[in-house]
Amino acid sequence: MIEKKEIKVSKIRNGTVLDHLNEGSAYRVLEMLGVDNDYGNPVIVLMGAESNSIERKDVIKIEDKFLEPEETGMLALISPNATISIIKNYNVVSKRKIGLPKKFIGVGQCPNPKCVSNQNEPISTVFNVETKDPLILSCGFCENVVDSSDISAH
Amino acid sequence: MALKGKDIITLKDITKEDIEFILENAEIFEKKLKNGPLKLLEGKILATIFLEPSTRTRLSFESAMHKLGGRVLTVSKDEMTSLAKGETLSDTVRVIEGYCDVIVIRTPIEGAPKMVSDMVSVPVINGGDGAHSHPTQPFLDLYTLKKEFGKLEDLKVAIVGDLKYGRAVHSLAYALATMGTEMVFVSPKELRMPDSIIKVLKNEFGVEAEEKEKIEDVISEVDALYMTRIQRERFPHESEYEKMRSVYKLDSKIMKNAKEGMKILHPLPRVDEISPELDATKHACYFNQAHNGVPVRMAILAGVLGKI
Repeated sequence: MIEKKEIKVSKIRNGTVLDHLNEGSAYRVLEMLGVDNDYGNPVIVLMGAESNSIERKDVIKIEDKFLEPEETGMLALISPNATISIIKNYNVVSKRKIGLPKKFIGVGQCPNPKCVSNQNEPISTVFNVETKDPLILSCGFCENVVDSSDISAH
Repeated sequence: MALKGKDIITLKDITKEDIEFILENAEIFEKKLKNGPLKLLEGKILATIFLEPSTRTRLSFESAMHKLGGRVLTVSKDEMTSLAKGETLSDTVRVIEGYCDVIVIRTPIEGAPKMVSDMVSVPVINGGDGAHSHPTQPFLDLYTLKKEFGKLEDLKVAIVGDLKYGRAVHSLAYALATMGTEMVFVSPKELRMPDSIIKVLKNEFGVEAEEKEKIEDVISEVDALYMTRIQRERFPHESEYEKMRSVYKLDSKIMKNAKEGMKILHPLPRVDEISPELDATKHACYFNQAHNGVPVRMAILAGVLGKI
Protein backbone atom coordinates (compact mmCIF):
# COMPACT_ATOMS: atom_id res chain seq x y z
CA MET A 1 0.00 0.00 0.00
CA ILE A 2 1.38 3.34 -1.01
CA GLU A 3 1.38 5.76 1.83
CA LYS A 4 -0.44 8.94 0.87
CA LYS A 5 1.02 12.06 2.37
CA GLU A 6 -1.79 14.11 3.78
CA ILE A 7 -1.64 17.58 5.16
CA LYS A 8 -3.46 17.96 8.40
CA VAL A 9 -5.06 21.35 8.43
CA SER A 10 -8.31 22.11 10.14
CA LYS A 11 -11.37 22.47 7.97
CA ILE A 12 -13.37 25.64 7.81
CA ARG A 13 -17.08 25.69 8.42
CA ASN A 14 -18.10 28.41 5.98
CA GLY A 15 -15.92 30.32 3.54
CA THR A 16 -13.52 29.87 0.64
CA VAL A 17 -10.59 27.53 0.04
CA LEU A 18 -8.01 28.61 -2.52
CA ASP A 19 -6.02 25.52 -3.47
CA HIS A 20 -3.20 24.80 -5.94
CA LEU A 21 -1.77 28.30 -5.59
CA ASN A 22 1.75 28.63 -6.96
CA GLU A 23 4.29 28.11 -4.21
CA GLY A 24 5.19 31.39 -2.54
CA SER A 25 2.20 33.28 -3.90
CA ALA A 26 -0.02 33.13 -0.80
CA TYR A 27 0.85 36.56 0.59
CA ARG A 28 0.38 38.26 -2.78
CA VAL A 29 -2.98 36.54 -3.16
CA LEU A 30 -4.09 37.73 0.29
CA GLU A 31 -2.94 41.25 -0.55
CA MET A 32 -4.85 41.10 -3.83
CA LEU A 33 -7.99 39.96 -2.03
CA GLY A 34 -7.60 42.71 0.57
CA VAL A 35 -7.43 40.19 3.42
CA ASP A 36 -5.11 41.51 6.14
CA ASN A 37 -4.75 41.70 9.93
CA ASP A 38 -8.00 43.62 10.22
CA TYR A 39 -10.04 40.89 8.53
CA GLY A 40 -11.50 39.66 11.82
CA ASN A 41 -12.15 36.00 10.95
CA PRO A 42 -9.73 33.08 10.91
CA VAL A 43 -7.47 32.74 7.87
CA ILE A 44 -5.37 29.60 7.41
CA VAL A 45 -2.28 29.90 5.20
CA LEU A 46 -0.33 26.81 4.22
CA MET A 47 2.87 27.38 2.26
CA GLY A 48 4.99 24.90 0.34
CA ALA A 49 2.62 21.96 0.74
CA GLU A 50 3.21 18.87 -1.37
CA SER A 51 0.90 18.48 -4.32
CA ASN A 52 0.22 15.89 -6.99
CA SER A 53 -0.45 18.30 -9.84
CA ILE A 54 2.15 20.97 -9.19
CA GLU A 55 5.48 20.54 -7.45
CA ARG A 56 4.59 22.42 -4.30
CA LYS A 57 1.66 24.63 -3.61
CA ASP A 58 0.22 27.18 -1.24
CA VAL A 59 -3.29 26.88 0.18
CA ILE A 60 -5.42 29.57 1.77
CA LYS A 61 -8.63 29.02 3.72
CA ILE A 62 -10.67 32.06 4.59
CA GLU A 63 -13.48 31.74 7.06
CA ASP A 64 -16.74 33.56 6.30
CA LYS A 65 -15.66 34.97 2.94
CA PHE A 66 -17.38 33.73 -0.23
CA LEU A 67 -15.29 34.87 -3.18
CA GLU A 68 -17.22 35.83 -6.31
CA PRO A 69 -15.64 35.30 -9.78
CA GLU A 70 -15.20 39.07 -10.27
CA GLU A 71 -13.06 39.21 -7.12
CA THR A 72 -10.66 36.57 -8.42
CA GLY A 73 -9.98 37.87 -11.95
CA MET A 74 -6.45 38.89 -11.05
CA LEU A 75 -5.71 35.52 -9.48
CA ALA A 76 -4.95 34.06 -12.91
CA LEU A 77 -2.05 36.50 -13.17
CA ILE A 78 -0.49 35.23 -9.96
CA SER A 79 -1.60 31.61 -9.93
CA PRO A 80 -3.32 30.32 -13.07
CA ASN A 81 -3.60 26.75 -11.72
CA ALA A 82 -5.59 27.77 -8.66
CA THR A 83 -8.93 26.22 -7.71
CA ILE A 84 -11.55 27.94 -5.63
CA SER A 85 -13.98 26.00 -3.44
CA ILE A 86 -16.89 27.54 -1.62
CA ILE A 87 -17.58 25.80 1.69
CA LYS A 88 -20.91 25.81 3.52
CA ASN A 89 -21.39 23.86 6.73
CA TYR A 90 -18.10 21.96 6.12
CA ASN A 91 -19.24 20.82 2.64
CA VAL A 92 -17.93 21.94 -0.74
CA VAL A 93 -20.92 23.52 -2.46
CA SER A 94 -19.08 24.75 -5.54
CA LYS A 95 -15.63 24.39 -7.02
CA ARG A 96 -14.11 26.22 -9.94
CA LYS A 97 -10.76 26.38 -11.69
CA ILE A 98 -9.22 29.76 -12.33
CA GLY A 99 -7.64 28.90 -15.70
CA LEU A 100 -5.90 31.30 -18.02
CA PRO A 101 -8.08 33.45 -20.27
CA LYS A 102 -6.90 34.60 -23.72
CA LYS A 103 -7.10 38.15 -22.48
CA PHE A 104 -7.49 39.96 -19.19
CA ILE A 105 -10.02 42.78 -19.18
CA GLY A 106 -10.26 45.36 -16.41
CA VAL A 107 -7.49 43.68 -14.43
CA GLY A 108 -4.16 45.25 -13.45
CA GLN A 109 -2.55 48.39 -14.81
CA CYS A 110 -0.23 48.96 -17.76
CA PRO A 111 3.21 50.03 -16.47
CA ASN A 112 3.66 52.39 -19.46
CA PRO A 113 2.78 55.90 -18.15
CA LYS A 114 2.16 57.11 -21.72
CA CYS A 115 -0.41 54.38 -22.39
CA VAL A 116 -3.94 55.57 -23.08
CA SER A 117 -5.20 53.20 -20.38
CA ASN A 118 -3.38 55.39 -17.82
CA GLN A 119 -5.03 58.60 -18.96
CA ASN A 120 -8.40 59.82 -17.87
CA GLU A 121 -10.33 57.86 -20.48
CA PRO A 122 -13.38 55.71 -19.65
CA ILE A 123 -11.81 52.41 -20.72
CA SER A 124 -10.85 49.15 -19.05
CA THR A 125 -7.34 47.79 -19.28
CA VAL A 126 -6.86 44.92 -21.75
CA PHE A 127 -3.94 42.49 -21.68
CA ASN A 128 -3.49 39.77 -24.28
CA VAL A 129 -1.74 36.57 -23.24
CA GLU A 130 1.39 36.19 -25.40
CA THR A 131 2.92 33.14 -23.72
CA LYS A 132 1.57 30.99 -20.89
CA ASP A 133 4.77 29.79 -19.30
CA PRO A 134 6.29 32.16 -18.36
CA LEU A 135 3.15 34.28 -18.34
CA ILE A 136 3.92 37.17 -20.70
CA LEU A 137 1.23 39.66 -21.64
CA SER A 138 0.94 42.58 -24.02
CA CYS A 139 -1.15 45.67 -23.45
CA GLY A 140 -4.18 45.70 -25.76
CA PHE A 141 -3.64 49.40 -26.40
CA CYS A 142 0.07 50.32 -26.45
CA GLU A 143 1.27 46.71 -27.08
CA ASN A 144 3.87 47.09 -24.33
CA VAL A 145 5.09 43.56 -23.52
CA VAL A 146 4.96 42.90 -19.79
CA ASP A 147 5.58 40.19 -17.29
CA SER A 148 2.46 39.30 -15.30
CA SER A 149 4.01 40.69 -12.10
CA ASP A 150 4.51 44.09 -13.81
CA ILE A 151 0.80 44.67 -14.11
CA SER A 152 -0.41 43.03 -10.91
CA ALA A 153 2.10 45.01 -8.85
CA HIS A 154 0.31 48.24 -9.70
CA MET B 1 -12.58 45.87 -51.37
CA ALA B 2 -10.02 44.04 -49.27
CA LEU B 3 -9.54 46.88 -46.80
CA LYS B 4 -13.13 48.17 -46.59
CA GLY B 5 -13.97 49.39 -43.09
CA LYS B 6 -10.62 48.27 -41.71
CA ASP B 7 -8.77 50.30 -39.07
CA ILE B 8 -5.04 50.76 -39.65
CA ILE B 9 -3.68 50.82 -36.10
CA THR B 10 -0.59 48.65 -35.92
CA LEU B 11 1.42 46.75 -38.51
CA LYS B 12 0.74 43.56 -36.60
CA ASP B 13 -2.86 43.61 -37.90
CA ILE B 14 -1.75 43.95 -41.52
CA THR B 15 -1.36 40.91 -43.73
CA LYS B 16 0.96 40.39 -46.66
CA GLU B 17 -2.11 40.57 -48.91
CA ASP B 18 -3.04 43.98 -47.43
CA ILE B 19 0.46 45.30 -48.13
CA GLU B 20 0.44 43.98 -51.70
CA PHE B 21 -3.04 45.43 -52.24
CA ILE B 22 -1.92 48.89 -51.08
CA LEU B 23 1.31 48.84 -53.08
CA GLU B 24 -0.47 47.75 -56.28
CA ASN B 25 -3.16 50.40 -55.94
CA ALA B 26 -0.62 53.11 -55.05
CA GLU B 27 1.10 52.36 -58.34
CA ILE B 28 -2.20 52.60 -60.22
CA PHE B 29 -3.03 55.92 -58.55
CA GLU B 30 0.40 57.34 -59.27
CA LYS B 31 -0.09 56.59 -62.99
CA LYS B 32 -3.64 57.94 -63.03
CA LEU B 33 -2.57 61.18 -61.33
CA LYS B 34 -0.54 62.09 -64.39
CA ASN B 35 -3.88 62.92 -66.04
CA GLY B 36 -4.99 65.14 -63.15
CA PRO B 37 -6.95 64.72 -59.90
CA LEU B 38 -9.52 61.94 -59.48
CA LYS B 39 -13.10 61.93 -58.25
CA LEU B 40 -13.17 58.57 -56.51
CA LEU B 41 -13.82 59.98 -53.03
CA GLU B 42 -16.08 62.85 -54.05
CA GLY B 43 -18.51 63.58 -51.23
CA LYS B 44 -16.30 61.88 -48.61
CA ILE B 45 -14.74 63.76 -45.69
CA LEU B 46 -11.47 62.98 -43.91
CA ALA B 47 -10.93 64.35 -40.39
CA THR B 48 -7.27 64.71 -39.41
CA ILE B 49 -6.83 64.98 -35.64
CA PHE B 50 -3.23 65.97 -34.95
CA LEU B 51 -2.39 66.35 -31.28
CA GLU B 52 1.35 66.38 -31.97
CA PRO B 53 3.23 68.40 -34.59
CA SER B 54 3.60 66.79 -38.02
CA THR B 55 4.12 68.14 -41.49
CA ARG B 56 4.61 65.20 -43.80
CA THR B 57 2.05 62.77 -42.46
CA ARG B 58 -0.76 65.31 -42.17
CA LEU B 59 -0.04 67.07 -45.46
CA SER B 60 0.37 63.87 -47.45
CA PHE B 61 -2.92 62.47 -46.11
CA GLU B 62 -4.65 65.77 -46.87
CA SER B 63 -3.07 65.96 -50.31
CA ALA B 64 -4.10 62.34 -50.99
CA MET B 65 -7.71 63.10 -49.99
CA HIS B 66 -7.83 66.23 -52.17
CA LYS B 67 -6.37 64.37 -55.15
CA LEU B 68 -9.14 61.77 -54.78
CA GLY B 69 -11.80 64.48 -54.87
CA GLY B 70 -12.60 64.28 -51.15
CA ARG B 71 -12.60 67.02 -48.53
CA VAL B 72 -10.65 67.46 -45.34
CA LEU B 73 -11.47 68.74 -41.86
CA THR B 74 -8.39 69.30 -39.76
CA VAL B 75 -8.01 69.71 -36.03
CA SER B 76 -4.70 70.56 -34.38
CA LYS B 77 -3.84 70.50 -30.71
CA ASP B 78 -4.28 74.26 -30.33
CA GLU B 79 -7.74 74.05 -31.80
CA MET B 80 -8.86 71.17 -29.60
CA THR B 81 -10.49 73.45 -27.06
CA SER B 82 -12.69 70.60 -25.87
CA LEU B 83 -9.65 68.66 -24.64
CA ALA B 84 -8.29 71.78 -22.96
CA LYS B 85 -11.63 72.10 -21.17
CA GLY B 86 -11.12 68.63 -19.77
CA GLU B 87 -13.21 66.58 -22.20
CA THR B 88 -11.90 63.07 -22.73
CA LEU B 89 -10.53 62.09 -26.14
CA SER B 90 -13.21 59.38 -26.27
CA ASP B 91 -16.00 61.98 -26.09
CA THR B 92 -14.26 64.26 -28.58
CA VAL B 93 -13.90 61.55 -31.23
CA ARG B 94 -17.45 60.33 -30.76
CA VAL B 95 -18.55 63.83 -31.73
CA ILE B 96 -16.09 64.16 -34.63
CA GLU B 97 -17.12 60.81 -36.18
CA GLY B 98 -20.47 62.41 -36.96
CA TYR B 99 -18.72 64.98 -39.15
CA CYS B 100 -16.60 62.67 -41.30
CA ASP B 101 -16.21 59.33 -43.10
CA VAL B 102 -12.67 58.46 -42.00
CA ILE B 103 -10.30 59.66 -39.25
CA VAL B 104 -6.51 59.98 -39.21
CA ILE B 105 -5.15 60.58 -35.72
CA ARG B 106 -1.69 61.44 -34.41
CA THR B 107 -1.15 61.66 -30.68
CA PRO B 108 1.67 61.30 -28.13
CA ILE B 109 -0.60 58.99 -26.11
CA GLU B 110 0.34 55.39 -26.93
CA GLY B 111 -2.60 53.15 -27.80
CA ALA B 112 -4.99 56.10 -28.22
CA PRO B 113 -5.74 55.26 -31.90
CA LYS B 114 -6.75 51.75 -30.81
CA MET B 115 -9.09 53.21 -28.20
CA VAL B 116 -10.55 55.60 -30.78
CA SER B 117 -11.11 52.76 -33.24
CA ASP B 118 -13.04 50.87 -30.54
CA MET B 119 -15.21 53.95 -29.90
CA VAL B 120 -16.22 55.04 -33.40
CA SER B 121 -17.74 53.29 -36.39
CA VAL B 122 -15.81 55.09 -39.15
CA PRO B 123 -12.38 53.67 -40.14
CA VAL B 124 -9.48 55.00 -38.05
CA ILE B 125 -5.93 55.33 -39.35
CA ASN B 126 -3.07 55.72 -36.89
CA GLY B 127 -0.88 58.64 -38.00
CA GLY B 128 1.63 57.90 -35.21
CA ASP B 129 1.11 57.36 -31.47
CA GLY B 130 4.12 58.14 -29.29
CA ALA B 131 6.85 55.51 -29.49
CA HIS B 132 4.28 52.80 -30.30
CA SER B 133 3.49 52.70 -33.99
CA HIS B 134 3.30 54.64 -37.25
CA PRO B 135 1.83 51.99 -39.52
CA THR B 136 1.38 53.98 -42.73
CA GLN B 137 5.05 55.05 -42.94
CA PRO B 138 6.32 51.55 -43.81
CA PHE B 139 3.87 51.32 -46.71
CA LEU B 140 5.59 54.22 -48.41
CA ASP B 141 9.00 52.84 -47.46
CA LEU B 142 8.09 49.51 -49.07
CA TYR B 143 6.56 51.28 -52.06
CA THR B 144 9.80 53.23 -52.53
CA LEU B 145 11.93 50.07 -52.33
CA LYS B 146 9.63 48.26 -54.76
CA LYS B 147 9.77 51.18 -57.20
CA GLU B 148 13.57 51.32 -57.02
CA PHE B 149 14.32 47.59 -57.15
CA GLY B 150 11.17 46.10 -58.70
CA LYS B 151 10.97 43.59 -55.85
CA LEU B 152 11.05 43.24 -52.05
CA GLU B 153 12.36 39.71 -51.76
CA ASP B 154 16.07 39.01 -52.18
CA LEU B 155 16.95 42.46 -50.89
CA LYS B 156 19.06 43.26 -47.87
CA VAL B 157 18.17 46.44 -46.00
CA ALA B 158 20.12 47.97 -43.11
CA ILE B 159 18.00 49.94 -40.65
CA VAL B 160 20.24 52.52 -39.00
CA GLY B 161 19.94 54.85 -36.01
CA ASP B 162 17.62 54.99 -33.04
CA LEU B 163 16.00 51.59 -33.17
CA LYS B 164 14.85 51.79 -29.56
CA TYR B 165 12.57 54.82 -29.58
CA GLY B 166 11.90 55.08 -33.34
CA ARG B 167 8.33 53.93 -33.88
CA ALA B 168 8.63 53.99 -37.67
CA VAL B 169 11.45 51.43 -37.60
CA HIS B 170 9.44 49.10 -35.39
CA SER B 171 6.61 49.10 -37.92
CA LEU B 172 9.10 48.88 -40.79
CA ALA B 173 10.78 45.80 -39.31
CA TYR B 174 7.43 43.98 -39.14
CA ALA B 175 6.56 45.05 -42.69
CA LEU B 176 9.90 43.95 -44.16
CA ALA B 177 9.66 40.66 -42.28
CA THR B 178 6.16 40.15 -43.71
CA MET B 179 7.43 40.71 -47.23
CA GLY B 180 10.50 38.48 -46.83
CA THR B 181 13.15 41.23 -47.05
CA GLU B 182 16.41 40.51 -45.25
CA MET B 183 17.33 43.03 -42.52
CA VAL B 184 20.35 44.07 -40.52
CA PHE B 185 20.01 46.46 -37.57
CA VAL B 186 22.68 49.12 -37.00
CA SER B 187 22.53 51.13 -33.78
CA PRO B 188 24.53 52.11 -30.72
CA LYS B 189 24.15 49.53 -27.94
CA GLU B 190 21.98 51.93 -25.94
CA LEU B 191 19.51 52.34 -28.80
CA ARG B 192 19.23 48.79 -30.10
CA MET B 193 16.00 47.25 -31.32
CA PRO B 194 13.86 46.29 -28.28
CA ASP B 195 13.99 42.62 -27.31
CA SER B 196 10.20 42.42 -27.52
CA ILE B 197 10.38 43.20 -31.25
CA ILE B 198 13.33 40.90 -31.90
CA LYS B 199 11.33 38.15 -30.20
CA VAL B 200 8.23 38.72 -32.35
CA LEU B 201 10.37 38.79 -35.50
CA LYS B 202 11.90 35.48 -34.52
CA ASN B 203 8.79 33.71 -33.23
CA GLU B 204 6.20 34.95 -35.71
CA PHE B 205 8.25 35.54 -38.85
CA GLY B 206 11.24 33.24 -38.32
CA VAL B 207 13.51 36.24 -38.93
CA GLU B 208 16.82 36.60 -37.11
CA ALA B 209 18.31 39.95 -38.08
CA GLU B 210 21.98 40.63 -37.48
CA GLU B 211 22.84 43.52 -35.17
CA LYS B 212 25.81 45.82 -35.80
CA GLU B 213 27.09 49.09 -34.40
CA LYS B 214 28.78 50.69 -37.43
CA ILE B 215 27.50 51.55 -40.89
CA GLU B 216 30.98 50.69 -42.21
CA ASP B 217 30.36 47.05 -41.20
CA VAL B 218 27.38 46.67 -43.54
CA ILE B 219 27.79 49.28 -46.28
CA SER B 220 29.29 46.99 -48.89
CA GLU B 221 26.70 44.21 -48.56
CA VAL B 222 23.32 45.99 -48.40
CA ASP B 223 20.97 47.05 -51.19
CA ALA B 224 19.50 49.89 -49.18
CA LEU B 225 20.32 51.90 -46.08
CA TYR B 226 17.30 53.08 -44.13
CA MET B 227 18.65 56.00 -42.10
CA THR B 228 16.69 57.48 -39.18
CA ARG B 229 16.98 60.58 -37.06
CA ILE B 230 17.94 60.34 -33.42
CA GLN B 231 14.77 61.93 -32.05
CA ARG B 232 15.28 64.46 -29.26
CA GLU B 233 11.65 64.27 -28.12
CA ARG B 234 11.84 60.54 -27.37
CA PHE B 235 14.75 60.75 -24.91
CA PRO B 236 13.97 60.95 -21.21
CA HIS B 237 17.10 63.09 -20.59
CA GLU B 238 18.71 65.79 -22.73
CA SER B 239 22.22 64.54 -21.82
CA GLU B 240 21.43 61.10 -23.30
CA TYR B 241 20.27 62.78 -26.51
CA GLU B 242 23.41 64.92 -26.80
CA LYS B 243 25.56 61.83 -26.45
CA MET B 244 23.75 60.05 -29.28
CA ARG B 245 22.70 62.77 -31.72
CA SER B 246 25.72 62.64 -34.05
CA VAL B 247 26.63 59.02 -33.72
CA TYR B 248 25.87 58.29 -37.40
CA LYS B 249 26.81 60.59 -40.23
CA LEU B 250 26.60 59.20 -43.71
CA ASP B 251 28.95 60.98 -46.15
CA SER B 252 30.72 60.39 -49.45
CA LYS B 253 33.69 58.80 -47.67
CA ILE B 254 31.59 55.98 -46.17
CA MET B 255 29.62 55.68 -49.41
CA LYS B 256 32.78 54.76 -51.37
CA ASN B 257 32.28 51.13 -50.35
CA ALA B 258 28.59 51.03 -51.24
CA LYS B 259 27.16 48.88 -54.03
CA GLU B 260 26.63 50.69 -57.32
CA GLY B 261 22.84 50.61 -57.09
CA MET B 262 22.57 51.06 -53.33
CA LYS B 263 19.75 53.39 -52.25
CA ILE B 264 19.50 55.62 -49.18
CA LEU B 265 16.08 56.03 -47.60
CA HIS B 266 15.08 58.26 -44.68
CA PRO B 267 11.60 59.02 -43.30
CA LEU B 268 12.70 62.68 -42.81
CA PRO B 269 13.18 65.15 -41.24
CA ARG B 270 16.93 64.57 -41.08
CA VAL B 271 19.27 66.43 -38.76
CA ASP B 272 22.88 65.60 -39.62
CA GLU B 273 22.78 61.86 -40.27
CA ILE B 274 22.95 62.27 -44.08
CA SER B 275 25.40 64.78 -45.46
CA PRO B 276 23.73 67.14 -48.03
CA GLU B 277 26.58 66.33 -50.43
CA LEU B 278 24.81 63.00 -51.07
CA ASP B 279 21.51 64.62 -52.12
CA ALA B 280 22.49 64.90 -55.77
CA THR B 281 23.86 61.35 -56.04
CA LYS B 282 22.01 58.42 -57.61
CA HIS B 283 21.90 56.80 -54.18
CA ALA B 284 19.67 59.47 -52.59
CA CYS B 285 16.07 58.39 -52.54
CA TYR B 286 14.59 60.18 -49.54
CA PHE B 287 12.78 63.05 -51.23
CA ASN B 288 11.11 60.69 -53.69
CA GLN B 289 10.22 58.54 -50.71
CA ALA B 290 8.41 61.48 -49.06
CA HIS B 291 6.54 62.20 -52.32
CA ASN B 292 5.49 58.56 -52.50
CA GLY B 293 3.43 59.23 -49.36
CA VAL B 294 0.68 60.70 -51.52
CA PRO B 295 -0.17 57.74 -53.83
CA VAL B 296 0.32 55.30 -50.95
CA ARG B 297 -2.06 57.22 -48.68
CA MET B 298 -4.52 57.55 -51.57
CA ALA B 299 -4.56 53.75 -51.74
CA ILE B 300 -5.05 53.50 -47.96
CA LEU B 301 -7.91 56.04 -47.87
CA ALA B 302 -9.67 54.60 -50.92
CA GLY B 303 -9.11 51.12 -49.49
CA VAL B 304 -10.64 51.66 -46.05
CA LEU B 305 -13.53 53.57 -47.63
CA GLY B 306 -14.24 50.57 -49.86
CA LYS B 307 -13.70 52.36 -53.17
CA ILE B 308 -11.03 50.05 -54.57
